[in-house]
Amino acid sequence: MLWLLAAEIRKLVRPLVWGTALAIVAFCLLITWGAANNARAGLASPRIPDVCARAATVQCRHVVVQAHASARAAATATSQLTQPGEVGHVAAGMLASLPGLVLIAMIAGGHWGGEWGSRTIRQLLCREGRRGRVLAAKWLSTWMAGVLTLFACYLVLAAAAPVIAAATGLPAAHSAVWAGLGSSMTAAGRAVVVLGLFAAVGTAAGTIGRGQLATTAITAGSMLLALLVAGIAGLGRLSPASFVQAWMGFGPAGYLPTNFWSRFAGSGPDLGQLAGLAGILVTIAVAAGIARWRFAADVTA
Amino acid sequence: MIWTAPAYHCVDEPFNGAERVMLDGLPGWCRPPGATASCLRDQGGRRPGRVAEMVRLNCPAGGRRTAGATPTVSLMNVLSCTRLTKRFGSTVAVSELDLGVPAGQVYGFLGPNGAGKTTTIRMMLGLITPTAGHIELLGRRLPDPRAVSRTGSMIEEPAFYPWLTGRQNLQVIAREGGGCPGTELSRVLNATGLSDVAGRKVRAYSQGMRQRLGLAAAMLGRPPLLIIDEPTNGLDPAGIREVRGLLGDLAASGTAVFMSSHLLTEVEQVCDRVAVIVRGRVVEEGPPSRLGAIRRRVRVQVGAADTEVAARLLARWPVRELDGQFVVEHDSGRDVNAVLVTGGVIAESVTTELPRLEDRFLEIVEESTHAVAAGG
Repeated sequence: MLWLLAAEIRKLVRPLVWGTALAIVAFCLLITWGAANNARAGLASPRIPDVCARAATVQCRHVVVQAHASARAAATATSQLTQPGEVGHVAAGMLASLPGLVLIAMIAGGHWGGEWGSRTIRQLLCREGRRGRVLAAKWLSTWMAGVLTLFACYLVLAAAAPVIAAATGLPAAHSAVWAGLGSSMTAAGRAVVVLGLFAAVGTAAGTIGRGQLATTAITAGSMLLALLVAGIAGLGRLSPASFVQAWMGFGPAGYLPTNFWSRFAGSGPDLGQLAGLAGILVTIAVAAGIARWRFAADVTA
Repeated sequence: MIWTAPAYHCVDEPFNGAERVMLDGLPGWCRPPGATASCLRDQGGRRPGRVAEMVRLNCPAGGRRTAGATPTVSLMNVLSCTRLTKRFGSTVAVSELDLGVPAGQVYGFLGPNGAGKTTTIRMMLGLITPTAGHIELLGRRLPDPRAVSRTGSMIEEPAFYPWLTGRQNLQVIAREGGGCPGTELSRVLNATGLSDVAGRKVRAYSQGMRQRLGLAAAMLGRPPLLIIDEPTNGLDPAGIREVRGLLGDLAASGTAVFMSSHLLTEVEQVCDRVAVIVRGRVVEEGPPSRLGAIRRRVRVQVGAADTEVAARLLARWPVRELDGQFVVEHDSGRDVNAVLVTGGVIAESVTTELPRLEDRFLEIVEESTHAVAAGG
């Protein structure tokens, strides 16, 4: 099994994988850059109602003071979030939401669905006929690629985000540089579980799609469908998207978003973290069952 | 430990020139009685080093023959298919196919497009499941995955990871099968003439180089059985000759090779036995020479004036006209000539032919197709 996993990891060293991972990291950097600029712009010109912009009443003075305080607080919060300790929340949230889903869908498509498209699946199954092991190795390697990207993203953000904050002129954060590292690591740990879910969905999608594009589309499509279902009253509680929302505990975002999930799933039904985890594990088990069932069929590639 | 039987000896250690065989549940090395190593080599048939007789002793469980028990000697098959059938919906791709490939032989698998060759090979490698029947590889019945992992294979056009080099592809393939030392990679790369380009990305390989890399991958770990589809596809004449030699060497070293091919000349030169499959059924099986010689025929050329009389005289045998000549399905030119002379016809020429495998193959396919069509 370890040899097989080693082979799968070796196959992952390819332009598609590191290119996609690089794109995700770049996306996180761009989001941080944009958020820092928005916070700086908000600080420079707080949102003051037009009436108060022209009038100098006591009431309006109060509104203006509040607007300035609010803008300063938002900028400080953004600055805080760009500190090396806290920025892990951004990396974890991004990888446990849509950007992570895109990453895993792309990797699953190339790494697993591509085995059918390029017909290398024949060679693979002729060397290792135990299909359960092949599935496990594919799932683990896809998951590992996601986890590595998560930590790469965290490292890059930890190095670059404070520089971005300083460059855009955000007010200095009032906490220590590494404050919030513990909660960041906890969020990263939760994101690792979600990446495992995405990888399981991707592995099952590969056995259904049996091609690169189809696998990518099924992986992304099924989770997007889950996001849609999460918004349906009653039924939404059973959606894997709600499980992710509950497990990650995504909250409302400031200038710098910590996820691209909660705004689609809403705050979601209040399942609680343990129920979210249980739901994710059940979803992984269901995906594994589907993969096992579909992969038992004839391979005619 | 040595087990003795009236006809054969079987030991649990290899000795020069002998081949490993499976006793019932017990592996061992066997050789015919009184045969020396050199004798074994001499009996190799067309290729030196071939062990002439592969035997299987029907020993009781545990491998010890009890006094008085008569050993049954039969060819030891490393690959056997029994009543193998595959249906895709209402289409029967392979029907009750029986095959046996003895150890150390090169077995050719011939058939027109759509005959069921690839489906059969896919079943042999566990890629698709038979609807009925069973397959045994190296003493293990499929779907036991251990059987397939010990078999080297190359199906149709070999596929690789284009972003990896030739050597890296082999490394990945080796790891998929449980790993092997670097020297083994070098060995198969040398054997297939790819050492110089092993560091180049596979995307830059020509079709012939990919074909060689496919053979190298199949040879990794010295599997006792190779199942290969069209091994010389895309190779230039020099490459074809090299691969032919390679297959011969593999067979000489005891590796059984099951190969499908469209190149009948290649099959004729390389294979010890040939099976012809048409519409999912094996319609002919045997050594290539026998397959071609099953029906000798006599080609007769007579003058234009004698054509009618000759046709009447020759009608006692199956006869047809081809390129202004009569082709008589009979194995004696002497008989044919005698009939003509008795009837007053002096032939321009009477030639006995041994049809080439290619001709015989086409005949077999044509006959079988007609037979199946007639049978509905």
